[in-house]
Amino acid sequence: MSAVVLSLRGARKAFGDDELFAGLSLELAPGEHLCLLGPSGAGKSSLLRCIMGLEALDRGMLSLADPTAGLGLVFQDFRLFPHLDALGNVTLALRAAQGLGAGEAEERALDALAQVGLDAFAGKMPGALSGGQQQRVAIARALALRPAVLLFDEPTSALDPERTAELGAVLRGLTARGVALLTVTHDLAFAEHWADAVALLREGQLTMPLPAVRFFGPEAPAAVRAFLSPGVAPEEPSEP
Amino acid sequence: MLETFFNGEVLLRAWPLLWEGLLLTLQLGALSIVLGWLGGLALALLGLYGPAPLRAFVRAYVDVFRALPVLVLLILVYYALPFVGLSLSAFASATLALAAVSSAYTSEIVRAGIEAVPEGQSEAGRVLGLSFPQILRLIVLPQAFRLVIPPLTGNSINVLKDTALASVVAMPDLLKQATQAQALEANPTPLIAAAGLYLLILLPLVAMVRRLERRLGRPS
Repeated sequence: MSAVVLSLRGARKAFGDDELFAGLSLELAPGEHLCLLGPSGAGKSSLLRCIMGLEALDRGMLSLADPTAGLGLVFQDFRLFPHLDALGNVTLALRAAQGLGAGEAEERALDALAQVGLDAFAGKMPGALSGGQQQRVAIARALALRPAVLLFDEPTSALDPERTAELGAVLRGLTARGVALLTVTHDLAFAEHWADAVALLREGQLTMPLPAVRFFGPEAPAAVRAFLSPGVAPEEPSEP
Repeated sequence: MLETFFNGEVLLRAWPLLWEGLLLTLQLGALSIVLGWLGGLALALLGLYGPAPLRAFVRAYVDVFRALPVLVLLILVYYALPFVGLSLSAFASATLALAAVSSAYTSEIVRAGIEAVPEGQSEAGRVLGLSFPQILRLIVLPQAFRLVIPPLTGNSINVLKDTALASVVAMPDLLKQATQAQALEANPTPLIAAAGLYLLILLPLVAMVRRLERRLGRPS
């Protein structure tokens, strides 16, 4: 099982003198869900933006196993197009960027909406959808382009626990069909529950991805344990 | 009193002239408004996305044509351009002056509308693989237009009102016809009728802007 759908080698990104990360490498296998944790400002979202091509890496190599099957990104704030209904949001790129005809685009869009359980909401405007539904339309919009890898920026930040579980189930469905997922999150419980592998981005370095049980277990590297329980210092406790 | 200001016989005799003037006013207004929209859209896009020299040109254009009184511009076009060999009819001069000024205002309105669409919308388009022109046409402009409909309508009302300035360069628009009829009849009734016609056309538009603004002010 050495199939790799996306690999990033030696990536560096800095804004001015502020280096976010350097020498960063990661790989994704088909159907794998990798979760990146890390303190705020560690550069997690910037890493996603660099992988997506919204920002340029200063150094490093990104390669995709199949360059025709691209990348998709689901933004933290979804960014649906408010002037288009759910179906229009999903068909827009199918028609404009991929050049599909109206009928074929609609068919594929409805199929993508069905995969996130929203085919009955195709005619709804984004403003009439709940936050969780908007997010699923955003997932369908990315999914319809049949990406090999989907990137998620803080997908649970606007969701209550029940919606988070629904999202987890949707993501499971995607990985089951071979889509690789790279998720950036603050939500430890989400990572523990739904990710295949978890890694920590901290001080410009990415720890070796570990299966969730090991990442959250007692055997995890010291840096990971220090991040997961910041109050528990190895020295004497400062408070009673 | 009624005999003087609301004389039915005078109105009846003056009506054909007033009607002709009204049609010309509407033609001049509609043409200037549409040209102003197109010019303003082009200026806004050049001012936002064009190369630096064009952006500087747009800034200068917008400032100059917002500062210059329409009447001054109209008289320049009609009376001064012939000296450089460019003689335009009264109608063409008025259209040019009104559209030039309107496109400066429209450009500012459209620019503000485009800038009001969050940057994240363009990024969402990029992530989906859309080209810049596609993002503009399919994502940014449709949202911007929704925002600018009320101010654009307001500006169009101003253009329609400013058509009356064309009477100064002897264009037989509604106001010109009314003043001529008034001189002919030695009675102000045609002027009252012209004022009534302006109101008849413009009041519904003003009310529409108010409705549009109220609807946009409320979150949908």
